[in-house]
Amino acid sequence: MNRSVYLVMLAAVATALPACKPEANPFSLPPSRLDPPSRPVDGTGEEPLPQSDPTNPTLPGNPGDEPEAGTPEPLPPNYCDSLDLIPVPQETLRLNDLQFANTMRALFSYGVSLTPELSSTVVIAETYTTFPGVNEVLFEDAEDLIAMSEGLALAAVDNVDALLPCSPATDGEVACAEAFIDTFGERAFRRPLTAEEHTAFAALFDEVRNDPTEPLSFNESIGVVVQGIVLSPQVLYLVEQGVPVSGASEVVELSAWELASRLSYLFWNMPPDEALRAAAADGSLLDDDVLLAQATRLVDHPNASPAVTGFFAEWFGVYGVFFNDRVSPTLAAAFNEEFSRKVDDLFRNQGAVADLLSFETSFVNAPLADHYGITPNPSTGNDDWQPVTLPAERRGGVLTTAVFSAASAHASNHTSFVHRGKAVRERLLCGELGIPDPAFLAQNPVLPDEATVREKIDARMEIQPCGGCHILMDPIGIGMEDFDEQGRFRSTYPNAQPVDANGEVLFINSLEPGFHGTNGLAAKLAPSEIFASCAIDQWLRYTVGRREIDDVRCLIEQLGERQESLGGDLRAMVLATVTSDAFRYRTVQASESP
Amino acid sequence: MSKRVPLDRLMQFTPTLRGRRAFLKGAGAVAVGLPFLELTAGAARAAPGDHPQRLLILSMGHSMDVNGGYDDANLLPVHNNGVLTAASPVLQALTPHLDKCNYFWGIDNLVAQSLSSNGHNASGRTVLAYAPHAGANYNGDGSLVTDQNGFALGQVSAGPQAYPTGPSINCFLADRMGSPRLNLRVGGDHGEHARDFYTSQNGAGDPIILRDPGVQNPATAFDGLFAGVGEPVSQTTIDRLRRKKGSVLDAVLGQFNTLMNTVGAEDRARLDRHATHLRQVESNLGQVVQVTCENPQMNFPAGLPANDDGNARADHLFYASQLDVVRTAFACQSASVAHIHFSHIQNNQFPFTNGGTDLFPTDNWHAVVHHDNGDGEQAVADRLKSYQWYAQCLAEAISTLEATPEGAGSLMDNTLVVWLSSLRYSSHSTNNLPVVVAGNLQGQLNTGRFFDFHSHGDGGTLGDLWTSVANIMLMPTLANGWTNPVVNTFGHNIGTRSNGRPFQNGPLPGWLASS
Repeated sequence: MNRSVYLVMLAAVATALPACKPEANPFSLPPSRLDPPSRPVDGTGEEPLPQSDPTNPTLPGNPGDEPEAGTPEPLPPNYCDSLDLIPVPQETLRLNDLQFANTMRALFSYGVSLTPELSSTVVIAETYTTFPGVNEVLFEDAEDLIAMSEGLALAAVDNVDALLPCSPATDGEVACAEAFIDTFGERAFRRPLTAEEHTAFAALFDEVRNDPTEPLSFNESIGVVVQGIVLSPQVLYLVEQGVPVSGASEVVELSAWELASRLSYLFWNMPPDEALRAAAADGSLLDDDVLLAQATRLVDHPNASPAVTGFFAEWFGVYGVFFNDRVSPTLAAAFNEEFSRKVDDLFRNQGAVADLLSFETSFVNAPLADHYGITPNPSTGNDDWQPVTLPAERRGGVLTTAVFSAASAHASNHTSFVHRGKAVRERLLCGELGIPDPAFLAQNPVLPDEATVREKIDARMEIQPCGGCHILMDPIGIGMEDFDEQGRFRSTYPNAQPVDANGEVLFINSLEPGFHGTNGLAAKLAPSEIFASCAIDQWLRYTVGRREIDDVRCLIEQLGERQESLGGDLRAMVLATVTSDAFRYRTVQASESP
Repeated sequence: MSKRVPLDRLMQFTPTLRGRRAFLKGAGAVAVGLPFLELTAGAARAAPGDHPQRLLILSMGHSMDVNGGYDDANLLPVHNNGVLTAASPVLQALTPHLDKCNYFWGIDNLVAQSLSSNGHNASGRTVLAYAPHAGANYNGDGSLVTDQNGFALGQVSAGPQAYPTGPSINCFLADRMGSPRLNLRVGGDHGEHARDFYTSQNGAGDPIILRDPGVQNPATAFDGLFAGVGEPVSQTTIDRLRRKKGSVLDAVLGQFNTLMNTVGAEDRARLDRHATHLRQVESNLGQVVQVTCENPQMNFPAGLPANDDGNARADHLFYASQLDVVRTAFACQSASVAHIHFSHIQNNQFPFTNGGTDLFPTDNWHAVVHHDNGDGEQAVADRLKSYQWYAQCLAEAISTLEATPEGAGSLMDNTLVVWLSSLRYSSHSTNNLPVVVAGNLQGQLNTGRFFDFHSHGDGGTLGDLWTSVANIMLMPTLANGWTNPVVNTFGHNIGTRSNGRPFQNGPLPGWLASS
């Protein structure tokens, strides 16, 4: 697949949308604990954007004016080919809560109760749960970790035999404790312990076992060591020291053990299994073919479904969103379940990226079928899911699902053309809008209740600086008004006004702007290069845990070609990443001592 | 040393730690069952609500001049017509507590300025006592005989005659309020510098000075108050494991330190925040603490060394521990006056403020506070960071007392916390000392104020401050303003300096809510 068209389009979008650069005058960065750095609207991270000027009549949002066309700064000829490596300047990732819980359960085969469970990962728009910034350990998280580790230590005391690779009676206490430290430590740290680490935990065992004032029993001392290891940063963080790369002092190559962890957490949200550990131990994982084979094994295993569908849920903004306050818990659960089932179905059955926006069949249980107005198989119950052919108006893929409609609606239970337009612009087209300064909210036009949606949109467009950004969202969102806040198709509003679902996707040169209804929008986006490439961009962000990626244009091109060679479908998209430079290398941080 | 409290005064207690959330969910979130125990003696007045008033003093012995040149901008908080509106760079940790604090601008130690010792001895010996030393010459009325430069005549620089004639405010009030002298320090016993902050008379009119170095080991301090009391130590497995948490955290934090030395700046900062939170959990900081006064045992932070290393590398742990001793003593009404002095003066390194790395690896702390390392950008930044830590200690004291329930409120409702240093500028100046006082004693005091004595008349003196504090703690009522003070000793009887400026002007105006 030739990505050059996409890249040119991205650059064009960048120059066409100067008013929405987040640091530009009317906007500020999102106030979040992540506090992400700004990212150019095109997602390429390359082109400097012209300064915005709300008073400039040539900027978008001023009726009758065309946006400045701008000239995308082309990459030098053969620039991407000239790059030996395209590594990512990656920070150390942290296991998110789910991954950490899975890790603890994997470590203790006898079954443990994780009480309290770590609840530290924050779901924030424009980020993924893999990002370091949403996985900070705050004071209360430290409290939880310590409390949880106490419980694990206590359980270890009662289950020492299941943990030990030896017998203290026959092998000697110290020798057995040290053997335990090595075997348990390797599984916890997902690599063999260094001599220094081994010594530290052996010293901890010795200290508590031989405490002159209150010596612990052997089993209790093992419990203390378990607690020490579990609380160590090597468990919670995906520490990737890497191996120096000859001739590239700013780059390190991930070790086989580090690759094993990356693979396993990416596709299973779990620590490496025996097969991966073996491939790491003998170094074979460094071979691209082995790496791809292991990745394929993981992806094709049912364990991959939660992680993979989790990514797509985050991408479409439906992850961790619950609607119990709007619909019954049963129906709310069905909203989410339909998404997971359908995406997993596409992923495992050669579904293409475009199919995400055009599938004609889905899965329903009885409550969801009733909600959608579909007649299910009479035997279908609340827990029985069955494939169904969707009615014609509901063939816009994810965009016409109840979960997407609800997630992009106001919490007060009415649709939001702004939220929907923003979701499409940012999530599916990889643009970035930022959030408005609250000071500008006062400029929101106040219209009578009976004003139509279009009258509301038009009124805001007249106001600067509001219109400069809303022109990128609202004309998209109004075209999606044919689905209500619970994902039910409609042609009129509750007040009997007709739904006007004529929308526009503006300022993307490769797309004809006009469309009608959500189906029309999906049909426009599904086959587009910009959507397909944005999918790669989003997966890349999720994989490496960051938004700002140097030479992302080259990476996307590289990944797109690799995706094509692997079959071109969704499964190929995620597999293409693992042998890329972004996965296998990283740049060294400032002041880092590799 | 701290007085050993008679056994019949002791209470069995356990500082039972509960997570903030668990505590707030509990049925007894604020109705903590602390038996009210009368103080054994003294004139201490109960604050409204029938809880005794307490005093905590945090003192330092160094200047607080960030960038040289008599830098006030980095220290003085922002105010609007005397109402504090924002913290200063040095005091930024107080941001959430501004409404509970007062800044006193223009408090001078005139007594120190009358003694011609080196700058640290004079200021340190007098900052809490505010009395000239015994060897000085006095007029018949008790006033100080000074030369034309204002220096006291007859003074000596060493020996018993070189120490103040009056008690330090903490010892004075402890004696009057029937409290043991809970004199604690963070740091080693650096000879006279540490001891000089604790002075007391053995009896009325007795000029013999007791110099107390303060207790450096928090376990010793705790035992001094509560030794021999308690239930048998629990032998359940979980309790046995928990008693090893210090060893566990040592090992874990060692892993953090090792890792932080190998990663980049952003990762290091993130790991450091994580490690800090682990330490804080173990230090009980930021938690609501239910003190049930049963089963005495302390919960000192992980990694607390047996002895300090002379370089202040564990000051944060010692401080947290000493603060816990104070909190427990206050909550169980075993002491009502406490003083924590930061006694390190030579090689303070503050690695806990700097991601585990020594802050002044090539500079002597004493030289740093005198700006011998210059006022370059890095020197200023590092100096600010070190001063900020001392302000953080005050913030932690406030938070800790607030997090300890008492009646329907917290210990902070009944406690006055005085934070000050004996020096202000880098040249041994004892003018405009850094003074912050937190607490309103159940609304009896105005807070959130910037009191400007610097710009008015004779300004304020330490004598004014200590006279105010003593009367606040001892006057039968604060409802009538300063009309009937019961203490008038701090600097009052020694007259005026040669320039005519009184050593003491009386209690500070505007502080009492009734004034």
